Amino acid sequence: MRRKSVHRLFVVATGLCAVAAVALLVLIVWSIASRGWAALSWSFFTGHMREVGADGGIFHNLIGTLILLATAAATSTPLALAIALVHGVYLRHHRLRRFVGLGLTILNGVPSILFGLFGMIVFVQWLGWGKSWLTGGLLLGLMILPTVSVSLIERIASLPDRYLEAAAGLGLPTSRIIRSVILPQSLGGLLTGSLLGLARAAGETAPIMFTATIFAGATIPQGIKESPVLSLPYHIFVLAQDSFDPAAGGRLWGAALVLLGLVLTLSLAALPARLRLHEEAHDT
Amino acid sequence: MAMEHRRGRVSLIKAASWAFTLLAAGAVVAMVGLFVWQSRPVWRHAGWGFLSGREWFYRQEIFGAAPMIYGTLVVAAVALGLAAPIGIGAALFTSEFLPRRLRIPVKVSLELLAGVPSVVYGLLGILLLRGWVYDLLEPWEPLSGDTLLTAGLLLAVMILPTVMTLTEDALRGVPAAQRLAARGLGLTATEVVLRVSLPQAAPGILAAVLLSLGRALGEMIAVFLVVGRQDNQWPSPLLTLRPLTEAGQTLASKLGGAETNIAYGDPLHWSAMVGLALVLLALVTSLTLLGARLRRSDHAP
Amino acid sequence: MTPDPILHIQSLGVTAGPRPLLRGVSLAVPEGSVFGLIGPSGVGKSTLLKCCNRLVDLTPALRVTGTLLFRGAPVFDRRLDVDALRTRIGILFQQPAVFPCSVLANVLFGARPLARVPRRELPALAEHALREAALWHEVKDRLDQPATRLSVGQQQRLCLARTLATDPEVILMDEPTSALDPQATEAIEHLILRLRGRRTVMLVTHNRAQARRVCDAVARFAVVDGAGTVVETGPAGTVTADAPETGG
Ligand SMILES: Nc1ncnc2c1ncn2[C@@H]1O[C@H](COP(=O)(O)OP(=O)(O)OP(=O)(O)O)[C@@H](O)[C@H]1O
Ligand SMILES: [Mg+2]
Repeated sequence: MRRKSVHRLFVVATGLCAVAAVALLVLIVWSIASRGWAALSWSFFTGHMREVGADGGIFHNLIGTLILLATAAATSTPLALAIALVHGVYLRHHRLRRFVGLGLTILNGVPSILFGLFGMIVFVQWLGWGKSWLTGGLLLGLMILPTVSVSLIERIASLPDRYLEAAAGLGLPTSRIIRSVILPQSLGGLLTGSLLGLARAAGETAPIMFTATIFAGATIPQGIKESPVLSLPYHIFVLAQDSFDPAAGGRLWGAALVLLGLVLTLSLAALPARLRLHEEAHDT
Repeated sequence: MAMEHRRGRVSLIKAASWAFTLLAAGAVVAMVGLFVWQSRPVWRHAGWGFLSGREWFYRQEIFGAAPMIYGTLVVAAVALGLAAPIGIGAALFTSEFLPRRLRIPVKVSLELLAGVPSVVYGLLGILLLRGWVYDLLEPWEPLSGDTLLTAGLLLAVMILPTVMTLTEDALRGVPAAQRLAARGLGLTATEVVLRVSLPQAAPGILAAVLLSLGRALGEMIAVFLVVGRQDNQWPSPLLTLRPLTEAGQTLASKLGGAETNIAYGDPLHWSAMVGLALVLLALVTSLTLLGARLRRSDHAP
Repeated sequence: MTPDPILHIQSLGVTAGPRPLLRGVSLAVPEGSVFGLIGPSGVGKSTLLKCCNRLVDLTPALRVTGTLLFRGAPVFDRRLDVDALRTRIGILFQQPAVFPCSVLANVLFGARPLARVPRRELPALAEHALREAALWHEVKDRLDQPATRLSVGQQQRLCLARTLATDPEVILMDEPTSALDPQATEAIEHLILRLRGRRTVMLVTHNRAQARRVCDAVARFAVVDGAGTVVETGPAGTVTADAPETGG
């Protein structure tokens, strides 16, 4: 009977932990949504910011964030494809493959503020650029590179060997096998990884605050070197600091809600594929 | 491929793949290399004192990173002290006791929780947590709600999903046949967890904790907003809990502040900032490496 | 009048969602006998075994109907302590599942939490179980070594010792020799014969000759109307004689 009581106690204790974790999510989403809801309107999305965020909309912040995301995707896609192919096809040696994997793991762990500093050194100090959307996009692309690559690598590794053997049996050269078998089959992995990576990139402030984004005064960038953008996370970051103007409060929560919505949409879009992988792993 | 070579054509895909891979590798190496290279002046200026020095006054060219290292460690310790037990407990519950139908919604919620941007956590920290901590610390007469404790609590919430997801991964590595065999011997579900799942998943769970710790050490935005950013806070006596109720500074919050822009024009000051970045990178990377090692030894049979 | 069977299965059915796996299974397993279950793959023999000690509970997709009595008491009783039941009805799987710890810890894996014997008598219990499983002489000098280093045949006997250490009244064996070489198989068969009389054994096997060698009675399963059921029961010699071989 003592064993039964230990069991009950253990289930209750761990169950409380799980409830706490889920409750936190509900609390967070609720805190943002209940406060930000009132600010949402058509003009909030299409209007320009006025009076230091106390009035107007977040049009250019949203556009800026989307520009950064598009650039990040354009940066990470070719790099991730290349890494995945090198890892899955060209590198024959087990040790070397593991080395690539380790490199990605390390890069994945690098704190995002360090990407910001790195960007400052390379683009501002060396190249003499000012704040630029391109710098931000490149840094975010580098930051999410591990997420995208690993997703691709896993997908390629899960391709049945018989596909490749069949293709090789037909006498196709490696490059043809890549183009006609591996790439089409692994696009799903690219998509999932990119969605996950972009979900992370969309909310990041640290890599772009010194290199790409400003609080006010930027519109659609006209050039590269001196063309910063506005962005949602930096907007929230600046307004949140110290005791901000209470009048900006409602709109600040509105912006946070939009950012949260953007991020959660991106991660939700990646979810089905991830769950499938997860459950497959669970059953075997 | 042999055919192509005979035609004297190097595969474009192959060339591009290697080129881009080397480019990415180059970027990573460049990052580490630059941090080392650009921080040389401060190492020459302060030597090991850069790590052990307790004062940072850039106008007097005094650069001691110890208070920031201390702040980073304290904040991360608070975060881990809370997030590790709760996260591991929750992961045990979802993966060992929860029926599959409920497991998936919980799992989805947690993946979403992991995706909430840090600036949003920071905002919630400022508007909710800060006041709450201030009230909590009332008896110790805090100057404000911006304290190392606040930052630690906020970080705990932030890394909780990471701890959980990685712990679940580790638990999933334990073969189902072993659980079945143990139940077949008459062990209770809890005994199976304690005697079969946990011991076998232990390296993976430790890895989960280390990787989460790495995240906590490097988090800038959320910490920045609630930590108070007070320089030169050093505890005396060393093991007092007093600093928890006071404002402090972490490596990341220092790097995210205005001083990074100020330092830009002055080579020594700049190299001190880059030095902080290097210390942070070294801390986090060693944790990542250790975690990766544990995870691998865990997966090997 | 024969004595009451130790396991009495009455029109047992198992379904996985809409799909029936077992239907109308009735069996009486006499105490102390070695009772064989034969039949084609996928007919539900393993599922039936898992019903006997309620390991089916761990597969939420499966629903069980009908009655299964263990010493006259219903096994599928909500209030029953299933963990206690499983120590009384032990199970041995096709693949030995040893835990990644020492040989000694493996033998005592089920017995230790039971806390039936004082701590200092555990080594003696382990020795007893290992002797009963005819493994003692092979492992007595390596009790502290990882059990995973044993050969598969030794691991299977270790699993048997582990079960014996909890002193079960019934041992369910699910094709215990199909992963083993002929010598290890012979060792296990020998053990089953030694257990006979003292413990009840339910043995799933694909091997007719094995059934004839070790079983007192045999139930033959077949798929009827899309679900597995018992089509024939009787002494090992008669049931197995005319049935088609199912391989293994
Ligand atoms: N969880 C489950 N959900 C659905 N069907 C299941 C489940 N578990 C087992 N089955 C099905 O039940 C049937 C019987 O399985 P079982 O393992 O009992 O057969 P068996 O007679 O032991 O076969 P074998 O001789 O190959 O071991 C199989 O058709 C199997 O697909
Ligand atoms: Mg079977």
